[in-house]
Amino acid sequence: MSTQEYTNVIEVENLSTWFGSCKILKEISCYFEDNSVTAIMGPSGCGKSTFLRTLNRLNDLVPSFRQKGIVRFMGENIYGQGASVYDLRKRIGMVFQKPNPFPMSIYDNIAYGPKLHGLNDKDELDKLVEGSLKKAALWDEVKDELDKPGPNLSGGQQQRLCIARALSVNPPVLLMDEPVSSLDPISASKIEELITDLKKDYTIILVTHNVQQAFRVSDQAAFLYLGELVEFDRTKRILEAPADERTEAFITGRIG
Amino acid sequence: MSKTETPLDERAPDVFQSEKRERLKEFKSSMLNIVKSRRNFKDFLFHIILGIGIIIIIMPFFLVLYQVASVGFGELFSNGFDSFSNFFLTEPGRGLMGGIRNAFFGTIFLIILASAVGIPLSVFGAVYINEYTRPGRIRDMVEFTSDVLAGIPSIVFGAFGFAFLVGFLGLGMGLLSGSLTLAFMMIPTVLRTTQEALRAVPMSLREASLALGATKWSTTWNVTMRAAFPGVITGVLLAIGRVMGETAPLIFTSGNSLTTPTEIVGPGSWVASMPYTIWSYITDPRQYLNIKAHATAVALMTMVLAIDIVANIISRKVTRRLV
Repeated sequence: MSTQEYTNVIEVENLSTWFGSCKILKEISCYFEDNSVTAIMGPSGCGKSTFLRTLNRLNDLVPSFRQKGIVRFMGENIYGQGASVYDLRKRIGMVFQKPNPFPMSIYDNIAYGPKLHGLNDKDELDKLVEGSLKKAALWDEVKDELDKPGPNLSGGQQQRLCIARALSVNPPVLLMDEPVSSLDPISASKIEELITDLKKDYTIILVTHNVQQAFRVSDQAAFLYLGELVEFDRTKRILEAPADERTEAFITGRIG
Repeated sequence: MSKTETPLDERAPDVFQSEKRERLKEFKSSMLNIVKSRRNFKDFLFHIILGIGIIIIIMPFFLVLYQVASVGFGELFSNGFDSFSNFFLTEPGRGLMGGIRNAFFGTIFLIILASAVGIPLSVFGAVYINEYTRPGRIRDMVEFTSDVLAGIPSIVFGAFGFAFLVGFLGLGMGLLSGSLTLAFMMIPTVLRTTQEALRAVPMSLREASLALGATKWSTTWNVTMRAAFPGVITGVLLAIGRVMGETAPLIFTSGNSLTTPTEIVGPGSWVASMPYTIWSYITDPRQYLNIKAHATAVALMTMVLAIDIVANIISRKVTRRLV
């Protein structure tokens, strides 16, 4: 992808998606600023995850998936002709709902991504693994057992390992699909802290159904309801003075 | 501690005694309960029946082992290690008085060649239908065919091998025809166990790899196959253990020989195998061949057992290392 002029790292214009004949997202337009955290909120089944997976084209795996509209990453349409899906996914990292470390050692888990993209120098890899683990605030806990299997770590550590893995290829954007919903409160707060830290260097798009969490960590928020983008603004503004009654109902817990 | 207190070690036996008495009482009352209530008795009866079932299930293994070993062990160990190594390392010779070198190495060659053809074929086949095709007609068809293949009697494989490989393709009897026939027999086991193992790998693992910008191939090879490896290796070794003991597919395809084969195709490639040797020795009227058959059977069973144990160890070690 060439570097074009762009104002926001990701811009979405009139995006609609379908699984088969079922319309999941309805004409969504929004944008994600550099070095910010955007929370995508909404009740279950409103299309949050679908939206996130549309941004790194992971939905392409589903045979019945179709989309219409434009998603611009760094100024280029990711669904346009000649766009490389591998290059895109390298530059948009993803963290999943359930921690999913590869069945390999901690070291190999992190080195997997860089190796895929052609980095084979041992010293560089060592440095990269250390750097990624430090960024994910996991280095101090695992620096003496890098050859231990990743899946042997605790749930919270596994999730931070997955974050480190996503950071290993140094993507400007990080997608997080409810990254703390399967973790205990202490691990969850650690990861929330981490998200706030990472904001300095990365653009983070966070899917969550937890209003408090969105309030704590995000700058902007988008509220999705049944595939429609109901509100999109500064988090504070949305949560303090929701403009739409559906948003208000969600915030006060009447829907969700 | 005051002096009036009894030291612990003197008090201990008493405590133990009373505990014993307590347990006896418990046992008695539970036995009484069984007789007293109809429901408890039924429960108890069912327990006993299941226990007897288990004994019947495990008995054949020990009976076979006992029967074969009681006759065959003498032949193997009558003269210490010498008779043992002679049995495997000398050729049958005149009157088949010698060892079973031909069959021992024959089986090893057959298995190696059969594995070299059958395992990659079935593993890659399973990867293709599980990872690269969508659920649908083709997948159903491959699964159905391989299931049918698993149910085909081994003698039919032998007949097929004879008609197709030996006759139609003109390979003649020998190592290659025998191995290929065995390879066909390995396909269903390896294919289906590999498929099961692949299916057990969570989708999110593949997605994590793809989300890093990996291609489908490198995801399949480095992540999915790696996670499925313990299951695959178990299937592979089970299949090897199974075809190792097959006689019927080899009768018309591998020929028989008193020496180890010198070629892969052609007259020099005729090869003996352990199950075939057991069969031919045990149907022979000569008493000493009967004993040799039993000794061969002991050896074959041990080999299959060893493979099963190795399968277990590998899959457990790998599982511990990886997952």
